[in-house]
Amino acid sequence: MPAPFAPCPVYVTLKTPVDAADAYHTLVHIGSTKAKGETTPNGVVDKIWSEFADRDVRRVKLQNGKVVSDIQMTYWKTPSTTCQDFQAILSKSDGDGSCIAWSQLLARAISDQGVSGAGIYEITADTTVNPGANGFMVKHWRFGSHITTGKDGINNSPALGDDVLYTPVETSGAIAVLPGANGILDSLAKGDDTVADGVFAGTPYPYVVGADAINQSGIPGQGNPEPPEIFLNHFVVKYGGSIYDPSYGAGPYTSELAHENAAIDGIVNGNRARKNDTSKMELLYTLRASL
Amino acid sequence: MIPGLRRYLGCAMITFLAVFSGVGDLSACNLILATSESGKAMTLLSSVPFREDGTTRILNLWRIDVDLSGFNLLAYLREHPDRSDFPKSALVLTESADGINLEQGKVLWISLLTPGPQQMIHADMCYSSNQSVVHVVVAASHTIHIELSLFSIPRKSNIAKWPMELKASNHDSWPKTIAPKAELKTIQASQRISRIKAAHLLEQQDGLLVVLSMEEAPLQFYYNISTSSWSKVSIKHEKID
Repeated sequence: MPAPFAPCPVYVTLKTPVDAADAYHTLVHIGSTKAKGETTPNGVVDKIWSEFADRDVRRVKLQNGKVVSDIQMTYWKTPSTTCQDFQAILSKSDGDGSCIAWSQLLARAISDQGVSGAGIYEITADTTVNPGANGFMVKHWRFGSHITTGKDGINNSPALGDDVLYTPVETSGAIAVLPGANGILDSLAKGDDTVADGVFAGTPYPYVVGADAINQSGIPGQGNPEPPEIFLNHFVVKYGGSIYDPSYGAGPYTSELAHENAAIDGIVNGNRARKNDTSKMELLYTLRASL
Repeated sequence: MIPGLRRYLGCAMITFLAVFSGVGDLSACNLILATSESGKAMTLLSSVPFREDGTTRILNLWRIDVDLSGFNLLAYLREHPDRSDFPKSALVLTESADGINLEQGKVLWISLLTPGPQQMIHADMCYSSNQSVVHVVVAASHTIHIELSLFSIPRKSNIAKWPMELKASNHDSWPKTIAPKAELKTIQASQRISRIKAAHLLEQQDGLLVVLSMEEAPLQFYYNISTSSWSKVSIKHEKID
């Protein structure tokens, strides 16, 4: 005789979910299993965060009445189809989503435990601090020196290491040698050539992306060791005054400046770039949703 | 003669015939690629055939890649230190002299695109009912942000011969862009927006309807031409018996 009802899991939450009618299995599963035994909102959030911090967050599914682990969800792994929303990342076949999808996942996992107070914040470059800024450079970048020709306008300096010979030796041109893929100038200035910092030194955006601002191995994201290196915006979660960056499993940070300095190396205006000034806020954090 | 257009012609004729037989799916045009003389990719986004003076003409909306990279971009920026970027692509509206010889015609309008990282651009056009104006929508989106730009181009507009080459070396002499007729910048933070897959533009009553196809339910915005105002259109699901 078949059982009248298929077996299904029962989860215990800290309180009634904030939106019980719109709770999702994977998110309730994460919260209720990770935070098992926790009795306080902060304790629940800490335990939920531990699931995101290891950068291996998996969907769950029911199989023969049992909850089993499903695919690992990822961050910007397939850029041409990366989804922008938590319901899509929970349902699409490859489980790949953007920072807003990941922030919604974390905030929803918290609110599904009946814990309110999580806010989703959008981060953009602050154009009042850096006019013209339209994005930021996620770690890691190197801003390398380069060699310029002297008064004679002739390049006297051969390229060493992986440096790039921009102007052939003994020919004329303003830029002689640029740093190579490692972002470090290995060459030595010869004759009247000199080492300079920034192709557009003295301007608000002294460096050029790909020329003397060179992308290096980045901060790993969820299921993706090398997410995109420049973004127009980013989304994070704030709870209890701390900032959680679920896309990278990074945090919590006690201040916006701490997050900014941990996350970015520079600010861009098109293809021009400037280094992040670690002493001041250059990003803007704007509340977009409260759960 | 643009060599790559030869490869395009076969597909264009298929599209042309399909449209006239009423079974056309113009979205398939997005798959048609050709290359310009400089080897840049050209994508046909939308195509509208029409009859005039006993002949068949075709309006085509192209996206042409024009971006510079590496040392070419560095050289450009050093020549123009007041600039920070070079356009990634150009939207070009053309009208062919007839329905067959797509390489002969004129350029009605151009818009240069410099999208930011991860920003997606979609575009579509529609023909006004009196055939005097071509409307173009450009939809730029990233995460929860959507920016719509509407352009209305007189059919008689003629800013360059088609084909034309968009070379970086003569960037400053490219045909001039025009300001959009209307713009809408909106943040869709309170609902699912997911990824925009395509933009569609339809003339409707005294306005223009922009339909943004998404992975989930589409978003629709209506621009009332007489009042110069935008509104978001809710989609009603009505049961059909």
